[in-house]
This record gives sequence, C-alpha cells and structure tokens, in this order.
Amino acid sequence: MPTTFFGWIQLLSDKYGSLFLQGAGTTMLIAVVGTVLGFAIGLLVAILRTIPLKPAAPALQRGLIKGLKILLAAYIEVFRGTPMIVQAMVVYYGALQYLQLDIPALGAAFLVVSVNTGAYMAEIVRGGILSVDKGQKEAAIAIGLTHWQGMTSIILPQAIRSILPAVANEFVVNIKDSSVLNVISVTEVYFMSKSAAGTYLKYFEVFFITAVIYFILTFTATRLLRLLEKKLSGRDSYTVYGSQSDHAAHITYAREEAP
Amino acid sequence: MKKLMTCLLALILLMTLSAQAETFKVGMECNYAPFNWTQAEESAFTVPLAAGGFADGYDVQVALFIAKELGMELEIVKTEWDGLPMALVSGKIDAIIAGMSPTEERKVTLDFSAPYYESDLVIVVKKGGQYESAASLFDFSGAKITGQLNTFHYSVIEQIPGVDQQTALDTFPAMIVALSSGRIDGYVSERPGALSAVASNPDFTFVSFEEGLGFEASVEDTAVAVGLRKESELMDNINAALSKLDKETRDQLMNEAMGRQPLSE
Amino acid sequence: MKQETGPIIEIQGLKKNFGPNRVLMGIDLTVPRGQVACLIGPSGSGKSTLLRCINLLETPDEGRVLFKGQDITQIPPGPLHAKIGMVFQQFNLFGNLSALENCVLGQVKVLGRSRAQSEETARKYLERVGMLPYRDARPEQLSGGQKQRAAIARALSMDPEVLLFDEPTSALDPEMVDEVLSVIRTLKDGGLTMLIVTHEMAFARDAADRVVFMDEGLLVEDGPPASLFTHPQNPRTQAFLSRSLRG
Repeated sequence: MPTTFFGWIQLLSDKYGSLFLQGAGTTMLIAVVGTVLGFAIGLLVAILRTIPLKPAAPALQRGLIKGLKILLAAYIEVFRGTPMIVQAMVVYYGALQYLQLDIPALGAAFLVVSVNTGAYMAEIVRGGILSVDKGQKEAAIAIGLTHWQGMTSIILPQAIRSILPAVANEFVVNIKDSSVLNVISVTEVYFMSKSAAGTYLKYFEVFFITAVIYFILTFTATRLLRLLEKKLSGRDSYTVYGSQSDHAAHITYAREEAP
Repeated sequence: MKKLMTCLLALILLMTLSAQAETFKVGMECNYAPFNWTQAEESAFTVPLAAGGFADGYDVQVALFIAKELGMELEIVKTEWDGLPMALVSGKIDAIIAGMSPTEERKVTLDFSAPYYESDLVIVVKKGGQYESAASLFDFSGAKITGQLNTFHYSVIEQIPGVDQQTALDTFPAMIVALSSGRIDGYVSERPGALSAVASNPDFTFVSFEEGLGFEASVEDTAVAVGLRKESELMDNINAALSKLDKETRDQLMNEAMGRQPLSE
Repeated sequence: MKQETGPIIEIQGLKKNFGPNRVLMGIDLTVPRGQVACLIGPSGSGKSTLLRCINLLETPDEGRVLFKGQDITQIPPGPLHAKIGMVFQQFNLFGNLSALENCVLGQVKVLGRSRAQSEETARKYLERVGMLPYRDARPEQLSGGQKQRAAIARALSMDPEVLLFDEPTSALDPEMVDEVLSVIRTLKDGGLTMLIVTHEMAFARDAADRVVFMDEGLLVEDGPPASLFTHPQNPRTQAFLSRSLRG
C-alpha cells in the first residue's frame, strides 16, 4: 500500500480510473441534457407567460390565457421550492409505486433535472426579456410584427445573449447537483467517489481526485458557453461600402472588445 | 416408464429454466468494504453493475448464495443509503442486503429476515496512544469517541462511563480522517471494518473486548439482515437459504472477502 | 368603408388617461392626404400620446381613430400597422440585426415579400437616407444621427402611407440634428403624409404645410406656419412661442 498522498493518488487512478471516468461521463451527460432541455422548457414557459392580455379579447380567450399563466406560475414555485432530491425520489419511486410506471434511472434523471432546471430558467429568461429595452417591442409593433414574431426575431435573441452568464451558472450548478441522483441508483462521479473512499478508506486522496474532476467539468462548460456568448455577439468588425466621396472605398471598422 | 421419466425430466428442466429467467434485484451501496464494495476489474466472485464496475464483498456473496437457492438470477442495483427503503417499497428492488440492521424503527416500514451476520463491536484507536491497551469500556472514560451517523454504533457510545461523545460522522473514511488528525480518540466499528482500517492506516489499531467488558447491544442492533417488503413472499425461502449458512461458513466467507478486498492487495 | 379620397387620418373625440392623469382630453383632428403637419407644444401636452394612439401603441379610452375611413382603434398588430409607420425619439433599431436586416425583417414577415425583393427595397431606402455604405453595421456601431436615418429607412421600407415622427431629433447631438432634418425634408416630395412632433421651430416653419399647437391634452391652435408663427391667435400659443423662440 502506498504511503504518500500522491502515492495514493497514483494507486487510486490506476485501480479506479475507469470508474471515475464513467461516473464523470454520466455526470456530464445528465448536466448537458438537463441544462439544454431545461433551457428549452424555460424559454417556452417565459414566452407563454409574456403573452399580452388584451382587454378587448373575448372572455374565453382571456380566461384560458389567465389559467395558463397561473399553472405556469405554480410550476415554477413548486419546482424551485422543493429539493431536487425529493423530486427525483417522487418521480422515480412514486411512478412505479402509484402508477405502475417503471422509468429507468437515467431517464428519470434527465426528466427531473430538465424540469427542475426549467423552473429556474423560466425566471432567468423572463428577467432577460424584461431587460430588453421596451422600445424594441414598440418598434416591432410599429412595423406590424405579431407578439410571436417580435419575440422570436427581436426580443429573444437579445434576451438570450444577455442571460448566457446565468445559463452557464445553471449548467455548473447542474454538474454539481447531479450528485443527489445517486438515491435513484444513478452512478455519477460523486457516488463513485464514495465507493472508492469506502473501499480504500482514504478520504482526502479520493475526494482530491473528485474535486479535480468536477473542476475540469465545470471549467470546460463555462469556457464553452463563453465561446457561445462571443459567437452571438456578432462579428467584431463591419465593412463600410464605399464612402460618400469615394464609391470604391472599403473601410473596415473594428469594434472594441467587450470586457 | 422411461417415457414418463423423460417427460418429468423435461418438465423439471423447463421449470428450472423459467425460474432462472426471473431476476432477484438486490439493493446495496457498494461502498463499504469488506461488506460491499465497487471495483474496476471483474473476477470469479464479482457481480457486474449496470452503471459500470463490479461489486464484491460479504453482502454480495450472501446475495449470490440466496439467489442460487431461490433459483433466480442476481442483479445488484447500486443505490445510495437513503434511497434504499424507497427502492424496496416501490418495487424497484426485491431486497436490501446492505449491512442494514433490523431496528424497531425500520420494522415499521420493512420486514427483516433472520440475521446473516452478527457484528463484534470494537473501537479503532491510534497506535501508541493512551487507549491502545484498553481492555474494557471503563478504560475509555474521558475519551473522545464517535460512531457512524444514524447507526447503532453511535448510540452504544453512551454506555462508556464518562465518555466525551463527539458528533456522529457520515462515513468511515471521515472517521479515519478525524482519528488521524487527532480530533477524536477513537471510533466504533465492526471487526471486519476495523481490520480494513488498520490495513490502510498502519498507525491505527483496534481494541476488542472480552465477553462482558464491551458494549451491550441487542442481537437486533448488532445483527444485519435482509430487508424485504412487508409480507414479502420471498421471506420464507430466504430464511431457509440463510439457515444453510452456519457460523463457520459465514466466518469463512468474511475472511475470504477481506482477502479479496482491494486494500489487502 | 374605405375611401380613396378624403382625409387619410381622422381622429374623433380621442381621450386617453394614464391612471389618474388625463393626458388627452378630447382630440378632433383631420389630416388630408399628403399633408406635412407639425405638432408642437410644451412637454406633457400629450403630443407623443396622440401619435402613439394613431399607430395603436396606446389604446384610447374614448373616441375613434379612422384610417382612410376605416375604424382601426382596436385592431391587433399586422400589415395595417405597417401602413402607418413610426420613427421614434430613441430610434429603437433592432439591436441584434444589421441596418440592412432591420429594413428587411418587416417586409418579409409582415408584408410577405421575397427576400430578394425586400433587400432591393431596403437598399433603395438606405441609399435615400445616405446609409447604404453602413448597411452591414449593427446599431451599436452607429452614431445617433446614423441610427435615426436607418430607422427612417426601416419605416419607409414598409411603403407606408402615413409616417409619424415622435420627436425625431430630440435625442441627437446638435451636429446630427441637421442631417436627419434634411432627410425628412426630402421625403416631402414622395407624397407621403407626415405627422411630426418636434421642438425644432425653424424646421416646422420651413417644412410644414400645417402647424398644430397642443397644450394640456387639447388642440389649442391650428394653421399654416406662416400665420401661426407670426400671428398666433391664442394667448397660450403666444406664450409658448415666445418662450421657445427665445435664444
């Protein structure tokens, strides 16, 4: 048996390396699927919640829209207000016990993380939509775009660009929070670490490796999202075609780097 | 006559084959050697885990034995401790073989089989410390002792007169760290776990007690049994299977498991 | 019934409140085709609100807005909106699109024109306002004057019949005011009906066919610039003009 800290790290990497990697793969898969689907859910919910209630519209339509908004608000409150570990257990075990529905563990994990993330994302997206200048919406109406058209062409692209840092945050949270899913028999990297620690009875060494793995995962995720942010900001420079005095001129202006 | 025998044989074969097709799903954590652990390599004794890796340990061997007796295929579902009762009650697993003790509180929700192992409680201490040569509970008066959270290991500590009982800790590795750093003087463990701890930490030793000088605990508390759903039809067959494992066989299984655990390589 | 002759915009008894504030207290206004009318008056008189009721950004509490004889007071956003274009004080160019794309979007989505046709129209109007060289720039890369000119091109790309201007130069640095005003002047030739809310008195005097003075939610005086500026009838008009023409 090794005697030094790094001696142990070496041994653990040799013996448990493949298991750590499998666990890390599961963690990342759940985090990616959960964040992407959660984002889609949050987007949809936020759009629905911003449908304008026209006082002139027929009562039935107004009633339906109002009912929908109440339902969506309830969804957000419930899934933000209860711990994900409880949601996981209710979905995975409850489905079998009360609905005779045997959902596989990984499928339940995707479902729970997506729906949970969706509730947080809905508020983040809503905040992003609210932060877009009111004038954009007015200009959209002024040229005759419908609510849906204005949302998809103008408001949402700007809103999404401004909320990307918050989305990256949610991604990182999901990477780490996926550890609670081991109660529904999902073996992600934290559960694997507990096994390693319980087998070799070495706490510091094992969780040092775990911390390094988590750091690599979260760092990669944030870097990727930063790249996406840059991409959505559009080209750095634009070309001016011919000047007023010289029609053949092509001047390129570079934009200042955003901080 | 010959025709009848062939038919009977065929029927029995068919029955055993269809019985083999049924799976016996057992839940355990697979992170507490030598009872149940996860390793990366396959061996003749291991059971594959769905999420990767292989399970081995005393609990795994008992599960394999029971499955064979029941004529069923064993499947191990690696689940975190808090999720085990729910997994059982909802039907995701058929039994819990995870080093779980049949306490009164648990009997409210689950039924338990006869014990499949009985612990011998010891206290793990540092070599060269003042408690190395302790022989009875009295010798631990004034010592800082802890045990695992939510287990009877922790509740028996109050039997030590004048003890300085510390906060319970989550896992055995956590207690090992606490002992190494000197925050505690000792922690309560079962003998096999203590042997493993000493193997990975040569500066540790453990104190075992002669009859009457150690902890008093009910059989219920010190034993571990198979957890089953209320009025499970598996109960009788499982108890029948366990009755075939006498003390000698159990000790042998435990020793072999300890020999195979990664720490002992 | 739609009329092909007659006034293009008719406002009847328009009232608008914001909470307890009565901003428009009953406006009657008829705008003939092709007229260039300037709306002047102190801040808070309701000029912007009137404009926004015409293109349906605000819903009136009482009264009607008629476009070519048709009551449009309650209709949802659609192609009819495009016929009444608006140029905003804060430009409101779509921040995620280039100048060209700004002009193309409405044509494609609302008027159903092809991409090629929309780009051709967009280029035509960008050229008109002198912004064609900057067609690939995003709004954040443009100066105020450039943005406003692009915004005018965007409104024109929808081929409107009426163009509303809500204080088009109030947010501009003085150097850029003229470039925008001169663009607006050139639009007169196209037969476009224009309603311009402005504080630029010199412009109103030179470019408008008609000047309307509003105060505290009501139309106070209405007439050709020549007479209104030199011989205002109403004392409130006189007071306002003497204040604003000072210095």
